[in-house]
Amino acid sequence: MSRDWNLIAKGIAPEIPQPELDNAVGVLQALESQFAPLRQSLPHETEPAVIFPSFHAPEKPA
Amino acid sequence: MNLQETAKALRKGSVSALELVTDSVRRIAALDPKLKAFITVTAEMAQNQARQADQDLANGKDRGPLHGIPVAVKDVFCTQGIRTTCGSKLFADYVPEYDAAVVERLKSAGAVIVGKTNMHELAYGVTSTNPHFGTVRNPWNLDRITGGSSGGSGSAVAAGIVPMAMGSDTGGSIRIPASFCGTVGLKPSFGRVSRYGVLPLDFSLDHMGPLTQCVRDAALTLNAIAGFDLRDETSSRRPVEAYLPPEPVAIQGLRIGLPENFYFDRVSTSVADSVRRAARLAEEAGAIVVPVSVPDVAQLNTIGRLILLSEASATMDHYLNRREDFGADVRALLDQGRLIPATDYINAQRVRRMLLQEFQSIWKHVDCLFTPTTPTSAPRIGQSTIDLGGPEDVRIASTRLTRGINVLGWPALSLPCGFDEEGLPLGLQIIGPSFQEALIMRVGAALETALNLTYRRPVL
Repeated sequence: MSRDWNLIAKGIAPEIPQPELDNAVGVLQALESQFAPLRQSLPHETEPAVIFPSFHAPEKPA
Repeated sequence: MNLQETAKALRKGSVSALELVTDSVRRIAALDPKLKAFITVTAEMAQNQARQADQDLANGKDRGPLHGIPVAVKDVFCTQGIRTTCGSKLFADYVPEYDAAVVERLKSAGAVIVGKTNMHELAYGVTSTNPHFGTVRNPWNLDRITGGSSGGSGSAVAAGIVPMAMGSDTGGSIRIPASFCGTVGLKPSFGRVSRYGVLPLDFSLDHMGPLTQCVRDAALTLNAIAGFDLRDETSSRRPVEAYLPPEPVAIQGLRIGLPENFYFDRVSTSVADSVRRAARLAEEAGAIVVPVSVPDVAQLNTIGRLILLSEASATMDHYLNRREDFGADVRALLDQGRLIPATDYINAQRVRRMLLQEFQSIWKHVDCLFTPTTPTSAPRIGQSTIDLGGPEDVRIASTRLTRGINVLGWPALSLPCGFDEEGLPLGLQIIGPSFQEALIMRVGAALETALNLTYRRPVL
């Protein structure tokens, strides 16, 4: 299912002027077409590469 | 003179730190009206520091190879009492009250900062065509871009204004200007050099490193700036190594991977020929060149772009109501990032984990990789596309061979490996496994000797 970038843009502020939004939509559609197969192939249990550190007191440097 | 030669001359007494700084400042005055490599020049402060450096040396207090050497830092590094603009109108009057970790370490190593270098606005682009502080020009041809975003650092080093200038690299921003300007550029492993005090673009892709005239100078700089920093949560506790390659340097038996896919697709003939020649020279020096098939780099680039768009827009969220204060290209990228759903960002980070595991398999077969740094030499200022079998946006093309390495966090070194038919420099990228900076420096130093190109400097 492809995204409706124009609809997403209606939900953000400050708004993006239409000519600039048109340019953004073109770029994002192309990026989405490359990303969608990767997203769909993700195993359910895969965690992000960037994870938040636990909030322990930091160790002192060695 | 490069950094190492200058350090030797200082200790022999044939030149003083004050003379070096004065000469550097004089070159800025003479060349910068053309090059636009600097945003701020700190002449008086630098001359005072140089006097102190001379006095310290005379008193036997030697801080090491950077002692008394004039250097520059990209205007993304916070400098106490010196304005730090990030190449942006937003920060045009920002004067930090503290130094970035890199600046602290350079100062403690005795380096003398002569100025803050110009850059692509907010480090978010590869042309260094800055609408607020001027277009940085390439010393090899003033009608060409320097690359970016560390374009001022590339220009200043190539023009011989300073032997070392610091840069930052989120998708190639050290290596691309190094390639286009004919300098060495080192992007260390993620976590090797502290990001503390650097105005962030993308917290999971930003890396800090030097641009220099030769590989050994980059190694000496890394010796000074690498190491754990409690103030940067991504800083590694892994011990630092001695990065300066031995003399003579040996690479016998090292396995150098030459990719059979992706990296030589859609690159200019002169670029491909120069990198392959470098591989042959490595072979003559005793290395084993191994053809390798690499996993899908285009996938790395896709998620690299997605992560960058998302994180950069989040970082700049506070300023997005000041649309007119951004250049058009940066504003467009920030708009794109604002529209990306959080689910896509998280999923890109999940794909990143999968690709990290997949790409790690390369190191079962080889010790490092040789690739071109950029697909072409420096494009013209104002050029919007590169045509290598079809038009491709300059930004996308210029980062095509570098961006993925930021996603992986691996170290990568760019060094000059030839010149094209127009006399413009070309870059070889040496990529290694995480925290193998010493290895890629060794290979780079061996290649630099074999290629024998460091004597060629631009005429200005």
